[in-house]
Amino acid sequence: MDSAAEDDFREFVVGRSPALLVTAYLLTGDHGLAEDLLQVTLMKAHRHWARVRSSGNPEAYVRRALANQRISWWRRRRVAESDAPLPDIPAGDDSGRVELRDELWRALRQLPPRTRAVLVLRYWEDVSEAETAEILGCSVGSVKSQGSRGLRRLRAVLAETESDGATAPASGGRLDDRA
Amino acid sequence: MIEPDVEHELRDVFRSRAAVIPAPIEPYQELRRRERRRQHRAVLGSALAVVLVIAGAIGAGLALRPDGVRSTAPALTVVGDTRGSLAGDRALLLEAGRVALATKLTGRDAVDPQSLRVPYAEQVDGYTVVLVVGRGLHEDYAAVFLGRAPGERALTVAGGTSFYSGQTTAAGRADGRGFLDPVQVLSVVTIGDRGFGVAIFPAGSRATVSRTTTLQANCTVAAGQAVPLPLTDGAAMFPVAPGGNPQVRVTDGRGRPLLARPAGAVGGGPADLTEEQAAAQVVASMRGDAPADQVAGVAGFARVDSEQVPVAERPIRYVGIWAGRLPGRPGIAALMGAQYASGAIALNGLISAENGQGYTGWSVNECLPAGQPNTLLLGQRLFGDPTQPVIMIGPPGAASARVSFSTGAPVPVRLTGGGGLLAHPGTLVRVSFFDRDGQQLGSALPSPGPFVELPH
Repeated sequence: MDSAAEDDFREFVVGRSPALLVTAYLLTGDHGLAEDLLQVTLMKAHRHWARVRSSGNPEAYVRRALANQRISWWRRRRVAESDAPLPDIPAGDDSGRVELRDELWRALRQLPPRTRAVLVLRYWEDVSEAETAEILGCSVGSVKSQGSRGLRRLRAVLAETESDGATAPASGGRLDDRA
Repeated sequence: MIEPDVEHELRDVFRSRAAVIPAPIEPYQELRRRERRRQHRAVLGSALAVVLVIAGAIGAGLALRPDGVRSTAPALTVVGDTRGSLAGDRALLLEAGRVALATKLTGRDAVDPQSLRVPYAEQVDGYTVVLVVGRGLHEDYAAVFLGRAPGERALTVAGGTSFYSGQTTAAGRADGRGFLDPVQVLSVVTIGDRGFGVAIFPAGSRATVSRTTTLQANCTVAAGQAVPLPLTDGAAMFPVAPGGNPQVRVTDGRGRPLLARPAGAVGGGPADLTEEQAAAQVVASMRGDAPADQVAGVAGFARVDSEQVPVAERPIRYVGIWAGRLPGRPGIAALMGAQYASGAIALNGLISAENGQGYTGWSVNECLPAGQPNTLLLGQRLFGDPTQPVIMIGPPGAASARVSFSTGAPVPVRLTGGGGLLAHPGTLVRVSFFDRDGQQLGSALPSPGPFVELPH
């Protein structure tokens, strides 16, 4: 890679890594895994930077690579993945909503990676169904069904949490640990 | 139709989680370091043979099933390729593959079960020795498993090594081919109280081993006596004396070099210094402006890092050269040395990690000839990375330096203890050192040659 391209790549990494790391985290649910995922994806982008840059939207390219890398990664890494503890979230929220979000987050982490990727792309990246289908290399119908299944699962968690009372201790005891 | 409340809550969850993710610190530099580490591992073949557990930590972390419980055998794709006297023991090979998966020996980078192979199974001193290799997402892995005791079939991990599978290796093979295809492994293990090297290469390979390779006074490596290593079908185990670090050279059937590096050290010799003793020697002679507590911290790694030097002897003492504060961030860069019997000093550099936890080595590629401890003239970018500071270290009497870049006027730098660090962009061309009277002491070019000339 020539120095101009290297400079361009460096500028991209420095400028876009914070946002890309967030997406990686939402895709993986684990900070360490997210860093690994982002680094691996960026290294691949580096090797093909001329092509990535010529796409006209390198960030979209890398986000697509992140989602797909995550899905294929899971197939290999599922043996070693663990249920990492939840990071602390900012204080200042009422405890009921914090518990609700924790339950939803836990439920999200249980979803299959492709389903989770659909939800992250649709509701974090605000990508359309058609674009999501293109990114994940599947049909729009598949995006609709995956999204619907994922939300159905989350809706069930939501209903269960609300019926238990939002201040009830969450399963697993992690909320109690933090209190 | 999606219910709006779920969508709303989901967006809230994403927002709240995103808010707790800190921005990555210097992501580009971290990327470069990661790439370099992998290239380094690929080229050197990771001499970091992790001689872990033989008797002490038996069974720790292993998810072995009790006898009589049927296990799910992993898919071992090339069982027929196994070499060694136990190659025909299919049950043992399957068990080794299963234990390799159960141990998660690669941390988060799980090995693909479909890639597992067992290239070697042997009986040594009554112990069962089995080598398992596999492909992870980032790297290829090799692990040596041992019987828990002589005559026992239950296996425990005894050592391991890794290669980045996506880089050109020392053998010059193409991207995407690690040591799995064909299998190339050089590692060391301790069996009972004896050390062994484990060498597995393509059938038809030829190898020699030298146990007397030394660093000479002029910083060249004396070959010592190289004796043929009897590779049977490309596989061999050979004794490694405590403290020894035998040099192994392997060529393929047509004489092309496959590998030339130390097998790795096993244990420590009786004359070895402890880490504390080595650190004390480093601290005592260190120059520069680094805080004493940070110098003491970095000095503890002197003994470990000297094991990278490609000779079969161990250092006789350790020296501190120079350590200084890093510009623009906490931490220090330090240059240390390991002195060998000839008097030559092999240098190695360490820099504080970005997160403040631990240290990272940078390739110094320098050796000080015997009797010339004060002749060092070093000027280079840390890690060779254009975003990192320039480090300059001259003789103790060097009071200032002038750093030349490809553009712009030379930058003068006042030195402390003969050295300094400079954060400055541009392509480094030369560092010139001056004494207190302005007399030039010499210059250093930023591209050091090879560390030492290996014998051919």
